[in-house]
Amino acid sequence: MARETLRKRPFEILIVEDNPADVRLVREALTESGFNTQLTVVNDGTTAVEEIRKAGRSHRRPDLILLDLHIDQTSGLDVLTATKKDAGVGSIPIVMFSTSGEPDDIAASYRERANAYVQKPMDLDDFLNAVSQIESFWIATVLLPEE
Amino acid sequence: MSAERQRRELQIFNGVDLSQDLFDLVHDAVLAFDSSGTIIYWNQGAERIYGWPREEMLGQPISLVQPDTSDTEHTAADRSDAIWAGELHHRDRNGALLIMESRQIKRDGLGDIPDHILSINRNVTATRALQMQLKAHALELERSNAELESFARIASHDLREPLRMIGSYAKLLNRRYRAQLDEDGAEFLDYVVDGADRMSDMIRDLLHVARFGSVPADLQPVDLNDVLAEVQSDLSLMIRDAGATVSVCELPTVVGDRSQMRRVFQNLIENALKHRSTETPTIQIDAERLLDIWRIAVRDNGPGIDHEDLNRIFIPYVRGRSSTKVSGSGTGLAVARKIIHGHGGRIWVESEPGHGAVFYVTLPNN
Repeated sequence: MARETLRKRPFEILIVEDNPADVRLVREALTESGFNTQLTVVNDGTTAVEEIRKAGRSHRRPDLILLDLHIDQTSGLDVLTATKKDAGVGSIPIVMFSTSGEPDDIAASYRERANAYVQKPMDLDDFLNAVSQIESFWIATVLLPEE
Repeated sequence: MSAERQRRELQIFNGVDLSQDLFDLVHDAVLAFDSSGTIIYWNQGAERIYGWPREEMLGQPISLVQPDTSDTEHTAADRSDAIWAGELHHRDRNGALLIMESRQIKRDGLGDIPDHILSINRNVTATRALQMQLKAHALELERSNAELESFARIASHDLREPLRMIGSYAKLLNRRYRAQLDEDGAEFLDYVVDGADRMSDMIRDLLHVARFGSVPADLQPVDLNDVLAEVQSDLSLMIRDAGATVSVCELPTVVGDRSQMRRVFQNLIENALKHRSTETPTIQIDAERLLDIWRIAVRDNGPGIDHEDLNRIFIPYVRGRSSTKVSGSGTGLAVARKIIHGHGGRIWVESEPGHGAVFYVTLPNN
């Protein structure tokens, strides 16, 4: 937690998710866990690619991207590929967060350099748990590059 | 023996000339035509198949039944002294297509008989049509199976998403607003949560059934002793809770997909643990080699299975009559069967109600 308490600004999470019900659940989980986080929501892949690129140039990069695989327009996988190729934002950790447990989806995500792949749990408690684990791992456990 | 004498001996048997009868008795069309293509012989078989009587056909051109002259040239060019064999497209009297399996031989003239080509034609039109139909059916079956599989996969995927919403928000509602609900409201909400939970299990299992395709993914030698040890360790809690004894005899190494094999035996043992009688559950696994296959038996001392259910229980979502109180959606045995079939084996159950059940799995021994 030391790192977290030293931070002045909130930990910024960009969530790319076209299902408002899931966004809300993630919000619930973040509220429960009590970390100082700020959530930005993007609903489709094309906007996501634009937003991420803009964020890279504006030096207000998100600290973590939570990326749904099956979203409208540009797919989650394309967003992943585009982000990882962009030197300005390529180092931002991306956690794939998808309903799919298909081996092909998982393999493709890691091939495109996703930092983690988490299947959205069916059960509410498991879901909230998964989100707060992602949160605490990327906020409090790992060290991320300085901007 | 000269060719001529050979021919005569065949024709004359005990002083009786059999050749005419023989030619008329065969099912096939036997015909001959001279070098100009004029028909000089026409048996009864030809009458039946082509619909032209002998009297009308003698002296007629072969092109009447073999309209494609290139066929005539083609068979002539191919043929030296040897027999030509191949498929020809002929026409009957009504112009209908006949597919003929034809064998032909070219002969020099002899006495009154001119140089000619003798041809025996078998009508395979119906057979070919049937073969094509079978092939089309097989293809269609393959296609619809694949379609069904991908449909089940996609459907169960797409169903998960809205179901997760129903389940999650029903639980959230329950957690946060239960106090504000009256007794009826709380009861209704419980039904929503329970229904969503059960459907979620069903969809998960449907995905399992769909995921195991007809071909095993990763074939390698699999030591079933290791597999059973892993399964026992995975199920150790369930085994302990049931107070069950699981004993495993020496098992063979088979060629298969390791994770799929694990799934099969996990499902079979789970099945035995779930369906138990009042006795302490005892599960025995042994193997026997029968020529080129291994037969592995999973025996239990459960309540047994009704005769009518012996085959039904391998169908997805079908549960035995006696297992209405048992948890699970009824896809475990269906998954096991799909995997074993994919491995070229068989799975079945033998049981007398009240005397336990034995699940047999056969696998090729390679």
